[in-house]
Amino acid sequence: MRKTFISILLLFGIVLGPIQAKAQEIENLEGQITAIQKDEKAPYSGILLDSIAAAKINTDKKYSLLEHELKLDYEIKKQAADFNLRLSTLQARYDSLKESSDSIIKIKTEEISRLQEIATDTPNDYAPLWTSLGVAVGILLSIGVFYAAVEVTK
Amino acid sequence: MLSITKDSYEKEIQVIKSTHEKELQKREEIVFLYQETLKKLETEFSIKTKDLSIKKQKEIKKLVEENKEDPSNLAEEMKKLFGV
Repeated sequence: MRKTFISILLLFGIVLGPIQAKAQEIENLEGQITAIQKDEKAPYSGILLDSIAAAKINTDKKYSLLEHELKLDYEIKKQAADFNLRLSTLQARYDSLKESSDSIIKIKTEEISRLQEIATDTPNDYAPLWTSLGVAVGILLSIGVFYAAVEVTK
Repeated sequence: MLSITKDSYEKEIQVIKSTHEKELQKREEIVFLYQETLKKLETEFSIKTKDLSIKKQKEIKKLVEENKEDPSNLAEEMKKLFGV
């Protein structure tokens, strides 16, 4: 395990060492750009650009910021539209649920009121029932007493 | 009493159905609006990109014509731009 770790570390050292050194070398260098005329001898070894290539490189560099700004603006607006879509959809869902629950609460309240009205219209008044039952029991009791008295005299 | 409860339930079902329909309609409108916005954005972006490209081409042409004989100004400008 330890050997493997050391091997990996050495491998990274071997691979990345020269790359870093080369990058530092390039950073320290100063480039040269010189204009030369036709048939003129080049002052140093390098890459020669004609006016068209130079103009293209110059303009590309100048316009790259504008192009990126344009792309960024487009992407931001698109993102805003996406978020707006999600927000509006959620708002529609919320409005729908609110309307639905408000209406259901109203219907339930009306139902409770109507049931309460029905309940108050029929109070717990059982007086006629008790009177009728009392009379019936009285009659039956009188018949029973009369019958018992007759049986006793016999 | 049962009829009152039944009426109440029917009303509730009706309300749920109608609000759901309204919601679906609203969502369709939102999606349509979103698609329209995207189309508009894409068209706008395409036009602006094209305009910028034309402007760039014009500038390249102008630079080439201006520096045809003596490219030293162009070389100086490159130096400034690239910090060389």
